[in-house]
Amino acid sequence: MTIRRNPTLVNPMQMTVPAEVNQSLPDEDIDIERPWIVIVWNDPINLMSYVVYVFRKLFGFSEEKAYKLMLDVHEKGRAVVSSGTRSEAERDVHRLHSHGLWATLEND
Amino acid sequence: MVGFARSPFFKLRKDGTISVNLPDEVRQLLTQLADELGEAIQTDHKDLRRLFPTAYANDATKDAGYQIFSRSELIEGRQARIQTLRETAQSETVTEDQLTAWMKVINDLRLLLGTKLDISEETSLSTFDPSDYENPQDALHNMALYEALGDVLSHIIDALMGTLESE
Repeated sequence: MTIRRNPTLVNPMQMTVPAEVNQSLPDEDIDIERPWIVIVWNDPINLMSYVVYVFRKLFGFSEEKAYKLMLDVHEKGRAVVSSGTRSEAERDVHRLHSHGLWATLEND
Repeated sequence: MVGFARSPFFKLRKDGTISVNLPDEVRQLLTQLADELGEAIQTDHKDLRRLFPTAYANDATKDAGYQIFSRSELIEGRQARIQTLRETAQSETVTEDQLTAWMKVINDLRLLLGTKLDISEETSLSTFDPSDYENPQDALHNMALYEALGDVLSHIIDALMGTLESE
């Protein structure tokens, strides 16, 4: 088989926001007011081309945007690939995990 | 634009299917490794951590909740893809979905092998030294598999990129 390698990535609710928030609400409820972001982290195993493909396939990004995000992961250590409610972000993280990418979600 | 060379091993056809031109030994190896992956993911071995990552890096409670539903779904999906690879490993033609299953199984295998080998950004074939490992023979074997799977994966990605360009 011809040896031709792609470089690896080096290093790797739907809910209505209430108009007023009760101060006594627990942290879990307060969190839903702020958007959640999905972060893909740098890792030393996944191929760069694989990451570009996954970004395009899962999020429908253009080739240019997917490539730029992959480079952000590669060079800056992380990139934000989506945002939304907590459940939307969890869904995206799960899809990325299903593809073997190292993704987390957090409040913006 | 980012160009991706077309693969001689996986060729996207006009009807959307992909022709597979791999030696029998490679097909047999992929089937064997997929079977081993299927057995491995039923365990809690620490080398599987990249296949079941943390979702909430700074909140163990939220992450525990995520893992409860996520882990079983990830295992179920992986087993289904392994089964697809088993059933189509000898095929001359596969669908996009079937080749996507191959791709994800191979990537999972690389994640597992790469974790076993403690692959870092400095790791390369030229600097790899089996004597750095407790079992040099196993390390050499795993590194050879890791590299070979990377080659196959690259060719699959090249073919599947073509399916995106036609969407």
